[in-house]
Amino acid sequence: MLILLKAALVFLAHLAVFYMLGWLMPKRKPNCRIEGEEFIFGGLLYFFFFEIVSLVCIFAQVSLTVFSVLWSVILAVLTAVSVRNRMRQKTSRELPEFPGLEGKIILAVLLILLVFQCYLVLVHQDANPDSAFYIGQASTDVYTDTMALFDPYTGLRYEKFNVRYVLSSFAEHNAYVSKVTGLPAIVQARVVISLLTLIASYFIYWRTAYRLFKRDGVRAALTLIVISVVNLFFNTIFTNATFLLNRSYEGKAVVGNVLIPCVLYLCEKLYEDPDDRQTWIMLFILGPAGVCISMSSLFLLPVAVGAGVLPVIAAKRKWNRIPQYFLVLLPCVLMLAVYLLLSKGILPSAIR
Amino acid sequence: MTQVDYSQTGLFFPWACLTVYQEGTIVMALFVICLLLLSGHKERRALFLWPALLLLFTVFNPLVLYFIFSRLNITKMYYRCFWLLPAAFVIGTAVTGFTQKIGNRILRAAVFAACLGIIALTGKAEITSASSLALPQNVWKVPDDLIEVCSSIHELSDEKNPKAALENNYEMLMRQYDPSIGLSIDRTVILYEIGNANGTTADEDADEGTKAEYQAADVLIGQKFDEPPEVFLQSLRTTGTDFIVLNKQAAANGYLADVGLAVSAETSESYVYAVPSDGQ
Repeated sequence: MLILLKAALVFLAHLAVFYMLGWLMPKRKPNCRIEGEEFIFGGLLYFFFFEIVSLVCIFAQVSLTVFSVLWSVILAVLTAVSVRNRMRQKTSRELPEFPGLEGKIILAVLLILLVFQCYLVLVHQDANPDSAFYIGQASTDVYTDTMALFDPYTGLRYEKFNVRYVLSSFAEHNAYVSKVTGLPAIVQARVVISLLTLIASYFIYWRTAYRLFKRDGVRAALTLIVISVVNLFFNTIFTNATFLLNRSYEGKAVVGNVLIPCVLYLCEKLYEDPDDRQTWIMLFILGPAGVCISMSSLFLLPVAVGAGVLPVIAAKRKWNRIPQYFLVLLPCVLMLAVYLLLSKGILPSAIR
Repeated sequence: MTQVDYSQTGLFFPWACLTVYQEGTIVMALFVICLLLLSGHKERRALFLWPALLLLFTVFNPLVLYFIFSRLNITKMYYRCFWLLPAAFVIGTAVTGFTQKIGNRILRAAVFAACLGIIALTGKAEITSASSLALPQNVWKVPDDLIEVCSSIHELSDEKNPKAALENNYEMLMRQYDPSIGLSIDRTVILYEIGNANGTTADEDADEGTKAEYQAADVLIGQKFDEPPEVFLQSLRTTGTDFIVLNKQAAANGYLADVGLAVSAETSESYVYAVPSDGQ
């Protein structure tokens, strides 16, 4: 029971940290509407900075303990700055409306479907081979007090960094949380992250649908009801729905169900205002944050951004935003270059 | 997608992958229909139709696959490209937009429910049995028996980090739950033995340790009991295996008894064998 209680607190702590980091959003106009974007911006910002700090520490081969202290300090500073930033902003909030009995029923159906999916995710068990790596890496790192230096399958020390995965430090995030809170890494991954992935996915769908239907809560809720049914009935081995409900602790599930939908959300924002600095910043940090979560992002996110942003630029005739488009791709391009240099042995990957 | 061989499908690779991807469901067809329904609206065209067409001429273009993808050797992961298509969101947007135009409230609800029914009846359900809804045995979401196995191994072992060889599922879960126990057989070997396409067979010039892993796995996982006992026992020594864990129903238990290995501990569902250090 104690572990479950701790897991619940860790889950809430994730939400709180993402929300507070979201206050670092660039200065907005006074009394503008805040539309719940803090979670999205804060989550991306968290993994953006986490990727930078963790990769430096991984290649410097520092212990997990040292990294945990360092990252906790950085997080505390970022949070303090964000709180100070928030206190200087005056904003108004808007809550969605569900008028009449029909609206209330639609909201109730949506909530039932969401709670049901949360239950599915929480009770799901599997012995998936990929989980042996992703969760095993986190458990191994906590046990050995290292970062990505030991093979999660066998427990033996690597001679070289596992180049295929080393740029993705999602497992290190689970190891960090486990180290700091004492929550077993397997519980952090299979309970906390699984639930976070599901909630983040539907939150981004909600934000996108809410904006698309011009802040009509009923239509947004109906859209999410359809999405829920699709997710519950599109259960083949390869679909993002399968990953959402069965493998939600994996970085790939986050890419397919949170980050790629996030690209759609940002493109929708861009369509409304192609000059919005905040949206371009989020697109910029999306790449490294995505790679932190899964190496699949190295390819998928630039393609998603290209497919989404270019049509918006063309539709709005904002050709002067083309340089910004290339700028937001730059982090992924650089990371891809690093990955290729590591793979070819041009950059050293030996572990001392 | 390992089920689809690029060398056999060639330019039809994207279509072959799509067929495997949706496994008889019609979600992608619904996506295309809904995409066309939404294309009358300028904003929805920019957000959904043009990106889909852009992807069609790039990522889903057979010629691009031929010249780029096949050379990058990433065809196994091609299924993730379908995630770039916001199928669920487009279907949701289209169904909502279509049904909300109906004036009569009851008819509106009925049409909406019918659309959901079509998706459900033509789909592959996540919930296929009551077991999908069952609570896990514990908070770690691993079998209780695995926890007993770990305790038994630590009780029997003098080592801080003993090495064990287990059957498939326990092999995958062991180090997630208890990373202090090493595994003497690598994951790719296990996957090969169970016929998973991500497994690989041993190279001819593989080192002795790798060959020993395959020899041990042949018996414990592959259930190939024609392996001479001395070869099997030597493979245990070479891999440094301290313990073997098998389900009580596993046929390999008989083989282990024949080669002289005795059960050292018993849990609810498993036998734990301590491998003598001298291999005898």
